[in-house]
Amino acid sequence: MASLSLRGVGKSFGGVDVIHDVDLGIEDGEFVVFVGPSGCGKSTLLRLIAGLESATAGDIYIGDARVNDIAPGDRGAAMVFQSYALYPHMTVRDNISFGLRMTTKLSAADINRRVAAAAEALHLTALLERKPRQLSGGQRQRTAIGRAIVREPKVFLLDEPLSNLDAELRAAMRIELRQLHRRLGATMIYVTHDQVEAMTLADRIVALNAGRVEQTGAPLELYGRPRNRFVAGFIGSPKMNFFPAVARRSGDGGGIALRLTSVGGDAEPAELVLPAADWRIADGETVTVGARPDALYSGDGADSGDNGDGAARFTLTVDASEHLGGEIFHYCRTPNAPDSATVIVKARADTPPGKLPLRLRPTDAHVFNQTGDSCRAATGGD
Amino acid sequence: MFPSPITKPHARFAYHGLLWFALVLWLLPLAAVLLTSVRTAADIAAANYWSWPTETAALENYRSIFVEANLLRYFFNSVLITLPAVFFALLFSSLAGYALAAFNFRANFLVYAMFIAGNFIPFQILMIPVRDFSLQLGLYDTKTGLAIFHVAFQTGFCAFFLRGFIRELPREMFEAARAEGVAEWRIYWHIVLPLILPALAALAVLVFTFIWNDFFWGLILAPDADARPITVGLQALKGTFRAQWHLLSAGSVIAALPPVLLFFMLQKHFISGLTMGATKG
Repeated sequence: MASLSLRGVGKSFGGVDVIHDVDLGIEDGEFVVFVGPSGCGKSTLLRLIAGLESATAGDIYIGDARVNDIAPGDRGAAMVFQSYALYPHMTVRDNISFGLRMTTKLSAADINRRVAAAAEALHLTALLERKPRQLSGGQRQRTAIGRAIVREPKVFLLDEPLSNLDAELRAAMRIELRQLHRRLGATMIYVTHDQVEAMTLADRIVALNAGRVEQTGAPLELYGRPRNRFVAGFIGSPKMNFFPAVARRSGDGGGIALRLTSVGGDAEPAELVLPAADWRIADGETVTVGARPDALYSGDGADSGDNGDGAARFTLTVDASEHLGGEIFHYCRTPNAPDSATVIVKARADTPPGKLPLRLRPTDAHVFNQTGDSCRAATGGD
Repeated sequence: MFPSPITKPHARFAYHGLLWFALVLWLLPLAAVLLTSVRTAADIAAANYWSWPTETAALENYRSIFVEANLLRYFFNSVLITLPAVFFALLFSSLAGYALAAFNFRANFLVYAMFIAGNFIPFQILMIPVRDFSLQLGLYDTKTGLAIFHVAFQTGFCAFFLRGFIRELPREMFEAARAEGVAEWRIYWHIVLPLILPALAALAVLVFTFIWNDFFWGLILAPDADARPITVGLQALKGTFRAQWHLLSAGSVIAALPPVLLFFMLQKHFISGLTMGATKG
């Protein structure tokens, strides 16, 4: 087991920078998920740690050792690939034991013991003599994980290991992986483009975009306090809604009024009033207000209708709806061109269709400036 | 489905007619050689080329090419030249193919291009330089020398073929092994070789046939009795016996057997090897 740290790590392929100056510390035993859209460099970052690519800048430490110039096999990291990368001509047993047989002086008995233990943990015992083509997707995936486990690595590197599985199996394997992590207590780094996997698996999420770390933190921290518009839009499903808005600071300095320009009418402007102390927003500044789909619906009677709470209130007409049984997603268009956009509203399944009464409370609002950074004033842990 | 079955009766009739015609045309020379190899000299002198032999002389003909014409010796020369040449051509080309397929080094494409370009050189223009070279190396008129030149000439094509084949293997498989710290030569031996066996079998048949049937280099590099392969030996037969066609035919049948036998032994691999790599999976 070991901690891991990246200091100023960069990687460029023939002049194209794919990783920019990444600084990251990972604690011993932590489950860290690298998440981001495809092409953001998350897999490359993992391959840099594994040693399959070499960094063009910065230092990579596993434990106390700088591993930049150490061969992949000597770094104490084990990698699991998205495509499983099993050896098709070998049985499950041979696949799992191959690395040990080739690179260690362990006795056959020791190797068998390790293989048996890993197979037991992954429910592969009955399948040990089968070839990969005789296995289901989930069994192949478990074999690939078994291959990593028997090496007793300091760090597990998992590159989208569940992407090739169907949804049901993926959910089951997520739970198994989580349990495996708890049982082994190993440091695990997991790469995915699926923010649901990131939310459910991670102790800590590293959100990446275009080769840069956008934010690092616990899943709920990224969900509740996204540092910028990218993280806000990427984490959470369905996506966060964004409304363009113009700020007006009141004279007494007590509040900032944000007028949402894409919704609300002239007679009834949708205006959100935020406590000035919590936000760094200039008078007249154009900003973007973010609201999660589950923070908008007010038709269930919980809303006081009182404007004193600073909430923005407006009405939108439903364009289309998706029933999910217990709940419903309404897709609405904002009425005011040119800022017209789709707004997703999550509500209880029995919501009457037609016009939706909505309100956005100050506590549910996220505000981003023109460059996409959060306008939230640095307080405490932020 | 493609090809669609031929259903019209007259089309079917024409198709079968053509098929048989082509087949007979194709096999006629072979049949002639087989028949001639069991004729007596008198039969040939009487211009009896195509009918059934008036008296069969199979035993005498085959005995005399082995005993009197020393064909057995040339046969073993051919074996001693061909088998090592095939082995080393496949060994070197699989190593080169793996290196070219799995590593990104600076000269990769250049080396690959040279392997391909070598195939386009008509080997006749190399005749004199290669003969001089082999003389200088002291390998002229030796089985070793001929085998070495065959390895050199075959490795280019084989490396080209195997590189393509190995490239079709999932790259992550090599990376998985590399990430585990498995040495490259072990990856080659334990992962690459077992997975390219069908391709190797196909190439073995092909290269064996090329080398075994080679006459040109044998004549240039190993013309003397000590080293000459069976193809050159047959030619010599023609001089010694003043075109005794029945013996020449018997010798040809013997010379043609090994590639045919090898093909039937490996034909399953041969076909899967040629088509594998064409599609993924």
